[in-house]
Amino acid sequence: MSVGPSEDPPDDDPTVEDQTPLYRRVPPAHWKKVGNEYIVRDGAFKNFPNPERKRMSVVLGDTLEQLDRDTESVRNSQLDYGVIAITAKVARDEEQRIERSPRDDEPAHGDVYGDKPTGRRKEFASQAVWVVYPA
Amino acid sequence: MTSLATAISNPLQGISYRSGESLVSRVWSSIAGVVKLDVTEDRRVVADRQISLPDWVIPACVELFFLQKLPDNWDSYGGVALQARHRDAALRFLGLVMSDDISMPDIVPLADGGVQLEWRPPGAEIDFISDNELSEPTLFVARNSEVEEMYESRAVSYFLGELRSLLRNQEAIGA
Repeated sequence: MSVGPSEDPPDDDPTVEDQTPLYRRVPPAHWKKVGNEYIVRDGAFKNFPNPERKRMSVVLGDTLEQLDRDTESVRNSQLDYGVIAITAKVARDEEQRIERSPRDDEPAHGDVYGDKPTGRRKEFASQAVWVVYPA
Repeated sequence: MTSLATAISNPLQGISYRSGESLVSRVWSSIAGVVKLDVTEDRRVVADRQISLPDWVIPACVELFFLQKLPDNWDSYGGVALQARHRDAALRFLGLVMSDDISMPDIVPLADGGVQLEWRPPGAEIDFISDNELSEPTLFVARNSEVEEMYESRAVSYFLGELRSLLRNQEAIGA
């Protein structure tokens, strides 16, 4: 089932439609609550630290739906985590490529490939929508 | 002001430091070497009980200390603990710009072992970042949808000249 990382740079997968939500868990260090509002920090949108590829893991909303799973499952029972979504279009508008990269432990896994300098991370944070608030 | 010996002994207890290499000694040196350190046989960090430090120092040290101890995969995406060179960059910058009338930044770990100091005054986002992607630690100032970037030498003067008024800690001013 698992698909290993393909060669860089991967092609953008056109089967991931622009309106597809890309879900990402947000660990406690990357959110804060100000008043009644939850704020996601731009640090939540950093690439995977192992620099073999410039990629950020997400859960693909279309696959999640096909699997009949809800967004709560993205949190993976870590109740102090939240889950946010950006659309595939938001990622593509920031020069990212999206690929499907299913894994044994997450069949809906995808990668958002591309450089994510600070300005780009801030754009993602500003466009992100909370779909599961931290408990 | 905070009494150093009482505030710092617990969080750092059990951690071995060698003179000139520790988190603490680096901070102390960055604030003009006003503190003398000894490492006792029971590995506690101690200092002259008469010495007082600016209020920001202990919370910053403790936070950075804990970020260094983050477990692997702390963010569930393969994140690693704060690396020493990024810790030092953050401490150095704080040592150069902070005073007790400036609000403490949020000290945020980054997945690659970097660190981000975040200030969020009204109308601006001010971030000092040291990580593995940047060629050197950089200050980012976002205002009116524009982001300015600058390296440390310019960042310090810019911070003290242009940003300080935005970051005044009203509590401290009123005290």
